[in-house]
Order: sequence, then C-alpha cells, then structure tokens
Amino acid sequence: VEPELASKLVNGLRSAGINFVTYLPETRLSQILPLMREDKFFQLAPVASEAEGVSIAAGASLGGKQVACYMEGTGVFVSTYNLLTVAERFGVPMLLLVSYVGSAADKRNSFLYVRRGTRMIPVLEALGIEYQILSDGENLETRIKDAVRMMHALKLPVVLLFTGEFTS
Amino acid sequence: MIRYECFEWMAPLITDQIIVTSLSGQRVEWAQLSQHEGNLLLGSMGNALAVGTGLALALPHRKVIVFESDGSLLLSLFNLPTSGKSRPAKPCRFRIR
Repeated sequence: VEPELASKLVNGLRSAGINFVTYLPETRLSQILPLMREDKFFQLAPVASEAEGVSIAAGASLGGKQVACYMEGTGVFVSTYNLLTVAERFGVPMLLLVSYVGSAADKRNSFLYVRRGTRMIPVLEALGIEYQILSDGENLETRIKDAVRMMHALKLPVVLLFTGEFTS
Repeated sequence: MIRYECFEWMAPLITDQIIVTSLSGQRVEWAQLSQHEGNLLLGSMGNALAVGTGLALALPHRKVIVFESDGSLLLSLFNLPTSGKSRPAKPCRFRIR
C-alpha cells in the first residue's frame, strides 16, 4: 500500500479508538506496521499464527482494549476455530484487518492466491461474520468507524477486506 | 499431588487474580471448587494461554493464571514463543501430574 494510504488507514484506526492490534505481517498492508509502532496510542502484539492473534486479541478485549487483528486473507481460514470458540462464544468485538489476497481487485493476484481469494466470502458468510470490502481510501475513516460501531453493536468480529488500491 | 488436590489447595488462595482455564477436566474441577468472579472458564482447546496473554497485556497490573492441559498446549505450541516474547509478566510454570 502507498505510504499516504497506509497513513490514512492508521489514522482511521486511531480515530475509531482501536488501541490494541495483534499482527502477523504480510506484503500488501505491512506499511501500516512502522506507523503504528511509532505511535504510542497503539499497543502491538506480534504473533506466530493468526489463530493466536485472534485469541490474544480476545483476551485483550475482555481486558478492556479496543482490538484489531491484522492478517493476510489465508489467516482467516487458519483462525476460524478461534473465531468461533472464543470470539463468538464470548461475544468479543474485534476488527479483522484482512489483506484480501486473491480477490478480483488484488493487484498482485496470481494463480497462487486466486483460489483462496475466491473462497473468502463464502467462508465468512458460512461463519456468520459481517464484512466490508474496501478497495480505495475514499471515506476511509468513516468506513472504519462504521465497522467498529458494528462490531460493538454485534459484540462479534467484523472483517475489513482490503483490496484494490490497498494492494498496489 | 493429583490435579484435584492441587486445585483444592489453590482455590482458597485466589484473591484478585484472573483465572483462565482450558477445556479438559481441569475446567470442570476448577468450576466446582471455585466460583471466583475472576474465573474465565474458556472451554476451548489450545486457546487458554493466548487469551491469558491478551488479558495480561491489557491489564499489566493484574495477575493472570492460566490452567492449561498437555493436549491443549500441544495444540498451540506457537503460543509459547509469543507469550515469552511479549513478556506480559514473569512466567511461572508448574507441572501437575
């Protein structure tokens, strides 16, 4: 993602009150990480698996933090068990910042990602997890705030799928 | 000391600590012995240590105790380096037969 858009995304998270982020870095959105590291507003937790990223975020949320998990699309598949047995079971609001690899608008799409990408939406819908697809920075702050409001209203995870301009 | 005896010994000692349990029999045994308001009876394999780590990172002034089982820990071995690196507190581990 271009630096300006990365900055806009981080500012949007901050503005929405997200103050605890677990992450397993990937390529497309990783420019947000140095920005968040420099900003003391964010407490960051690097993880070894997206699955534990969800569980650690759930614990932090139960401890009063407003949490997000940053991961690649395939991480959603890895963490489905944790999303169901911890986040959904205990009604934990969390924002999943997901690099939507293999989606039609993914500018780095290839044979390697496309089959995973095409299964993302059916999997999220099967899990009953709300999602929004973001492909540009228009009204980004508002759209992040809307997602955070929804996750609190539902007391469930909500997914933001980043593609298009976010994958350049 | 078997696990149930250990829990019997521990239960009266818990004050303001947060207790996170895994899925196995220890969850049932602990629930029977302790109705502490800080209990989080997770009921999910492979998640107790991660959830406990998240709680400890969010609440550094609180002590968090995680009851894991061998199978649960083996299911998510990646929790160990993450917990060690994030250093939510000085870890203290006991092995109960």
